[in-house]
Amino acid sequence: MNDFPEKTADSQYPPLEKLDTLLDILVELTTTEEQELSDRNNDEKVLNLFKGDRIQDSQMNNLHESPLSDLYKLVNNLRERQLHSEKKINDSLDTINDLLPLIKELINIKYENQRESIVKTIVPVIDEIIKKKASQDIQKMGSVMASILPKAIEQEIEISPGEIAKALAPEIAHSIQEQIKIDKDSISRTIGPEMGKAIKAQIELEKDSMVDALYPVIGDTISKYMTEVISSINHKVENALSLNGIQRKIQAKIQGVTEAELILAETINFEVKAVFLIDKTSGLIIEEVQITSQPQLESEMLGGMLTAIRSFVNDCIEKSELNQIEYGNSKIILEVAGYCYLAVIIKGEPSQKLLQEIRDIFSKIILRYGKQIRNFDGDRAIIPGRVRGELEKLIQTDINKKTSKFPTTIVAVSIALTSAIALPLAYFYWRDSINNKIESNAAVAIEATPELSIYRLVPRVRDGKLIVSGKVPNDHSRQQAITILQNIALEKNLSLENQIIAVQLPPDLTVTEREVQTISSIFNLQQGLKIQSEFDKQTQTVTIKGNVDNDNSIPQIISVYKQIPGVNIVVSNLQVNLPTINTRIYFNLGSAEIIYRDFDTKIKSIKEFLDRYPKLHLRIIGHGDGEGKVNYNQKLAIERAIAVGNALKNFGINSTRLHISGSSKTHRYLFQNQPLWLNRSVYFETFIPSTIIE
Amino acid sequence: MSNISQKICTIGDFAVGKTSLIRRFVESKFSDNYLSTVGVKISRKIIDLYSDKSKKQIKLQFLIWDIEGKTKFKGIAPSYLQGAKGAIIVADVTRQETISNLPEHIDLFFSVNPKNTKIIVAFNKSDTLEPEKLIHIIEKSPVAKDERIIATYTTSAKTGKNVDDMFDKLAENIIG
Repeated sequence: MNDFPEKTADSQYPPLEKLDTLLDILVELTTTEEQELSDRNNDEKVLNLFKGDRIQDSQMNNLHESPLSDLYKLVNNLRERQLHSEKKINDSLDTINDLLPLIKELINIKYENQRESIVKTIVPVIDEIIKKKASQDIQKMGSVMASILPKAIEQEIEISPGEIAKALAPEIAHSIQEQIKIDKDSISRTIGPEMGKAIKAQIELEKDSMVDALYPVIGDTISKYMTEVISSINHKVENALSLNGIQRKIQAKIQGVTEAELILAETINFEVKAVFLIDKTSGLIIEEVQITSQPQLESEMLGGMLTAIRSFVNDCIEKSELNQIEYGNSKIILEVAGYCYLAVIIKGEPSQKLLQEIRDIFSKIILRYGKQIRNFDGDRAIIPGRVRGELEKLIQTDINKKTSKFPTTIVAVSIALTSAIALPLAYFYWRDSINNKIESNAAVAIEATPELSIYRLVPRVRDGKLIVSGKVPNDHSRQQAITILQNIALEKNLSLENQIIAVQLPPDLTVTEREVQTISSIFNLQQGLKIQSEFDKQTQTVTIKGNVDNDNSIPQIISVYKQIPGVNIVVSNLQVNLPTINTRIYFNLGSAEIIYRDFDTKIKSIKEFLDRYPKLHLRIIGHGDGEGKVNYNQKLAIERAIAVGNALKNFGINSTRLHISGSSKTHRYLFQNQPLWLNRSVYFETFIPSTIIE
Repeated sequence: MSNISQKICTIGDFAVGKTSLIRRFVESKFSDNYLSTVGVKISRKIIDLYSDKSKKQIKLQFLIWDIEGKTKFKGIAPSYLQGAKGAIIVADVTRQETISNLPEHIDLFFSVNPKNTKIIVAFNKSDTLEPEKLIHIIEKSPVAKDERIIATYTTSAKTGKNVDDMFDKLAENIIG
């Protein structure tokens, strides 16, 4: 309603005109009384009238006859009064005040059934009036409104509590926010004290609703705590048959409580937060220990307050002693002695064991350091550091310690574990020491043998075996080592495992050559042996020649040379010192026929000789007397040898052993002066064919 | 430097300004909210001073027991005074009876702590009186010639007058 007239001194709508307008409204209302209630024109007319439309005479007449005549009269009188009044109405608020009953009456009477439309029309007008007035004189407006506001709000709450709550709610929140900005603590200061009372009152009034309201919070907290507790209980029940479980059963029997109680006691944890040793009279802290990982308590203040509380209890309750103070989930355990007392701050429910430990440690402190404590005069420097050490033991008595209630168990388990580890270790150690001793003996025995001492041979004892490893230059040394170690193994009831390798070292051929010559010299010292030897370094071959007394000696001699390092091949040209046949078979002049008597004598004895020496071969050599032609003599000499050979064959001698030859020359053994017939003969040489031995 | 803690007490009749004096000393601010609930309030203040006796610097921690004032219904609990090395006995210069009760408080303190204790008397609320009148009151007071007292001060918790000096004096006398 921006076009609503302003109530200022120079307004174009003076108050008198306002009254005229109001009269017009009344006339209008009268004339339209019988019209349809829903006629929207009325609204507009009312609105327009307020804007300044003038009333018509006909309408005025109708008004006199209407039920609103009284009202009309009243307004008319008012108008008259205004007309006759010399002064202008300057105070529009008075005018409005005068008008308010009229408007109210008017609305009540005429528009009872059109409340909504009227309200819609009038409210903006009133709004505008209030706004304008407030801008002119806010103080006065305030005082006017103040008197009616409480009543109005009260009325509205009664009629429609929901509505007013809805209307105020956003503003309350906003107001609180604003206030917090201005003075952060004012709201809590204001509301805080009342909240406790309010909650209390609400609980008294309707406990169930409070329970419902708090349930989600408390429920969650309890639920979380109980989940942890149950989880822990489950764990303990699952381990019921474990060592701890069995111990718990025994402890339950001994203590006369149920196992469940013990499990619960183990499950609900506690923690020692701080320990204070306090001077009994002054309340000064003599010594203190606090958990470093947590905020530190003001020990001196706490000591003072605890002392004051103790004194208060002592004074008020006839020398009774304060043993513990509980707050929330925590406790302060007080143990009092002559000059001091101990305050232990514990979160959770302390175990009996802890309480006993507190007493024990406190007793120990009093007993040992009582004098220093008695002399304490505010200077902590006089208190020995060991007092603090004792108190620290209590801080360490935490939940971890609680689970280890059975030191005997730990001892037993420790012993079992130690035994399980230590016994095998001891056995291995013992066995090792025995083995070491055997190995040492074997090493000493090897060292004691000069030929072996220069080689690295390692004896070891494993799994009932004496094992020896290493390298020696030949089989001989290897065998020597084995012989020595075999004796030790037998003595210690072990089997010998020989891992010695005989390494064939390349021999020094000069040494070999020298050794070959040495061996030959040694053989030549023996009677009947005459041996010569040669060593060829290229082929590492020893060639031996000479005579031996019997053929059995030859393999032995060859074997000796073979053993010389560096000798690969032995070629033997050795000859045995053969038995000779001095017998000659003589022939007549120009004849190759054996004289008959020689068959049974000479030929037979030669046959027997050959039988006696089966390896012997016989060279049969025929001779002529040298008289006549050479060819003839040659031919005759051979015929004479053949004749002897045949004779021997006839006596059963293998022809391979018989070697025929003839010479035209005279026999070399014959001297010049000997008779010629001696040359007409066959003589014999024995020999053994050469042998090659590798 | 040695760290030494000592307990001292403030005693006097109800509402003579004991708590205000301590607050002025401990927190350097003044509050008119009076503590009269649990009977004792404990405050802490550290004073650095040189000890002539031990010839070394001392860090003295005062644990100040502010003991609820005596009323006609209730006396001061003697056990609260135990173990104190010193006391400040407070009277209100505007209330003659609080001055008259001073000897009683002093006697009580000495009866509990007969040895090695130091006492200072504070005539509090001195800002409310003219200096001449103040001198007159103190001279007439029953403790004017009491030799057990090491000093008397006219104090004002409101202005802070003599408050720090008074506690410092007590500290020096306790440490020696």
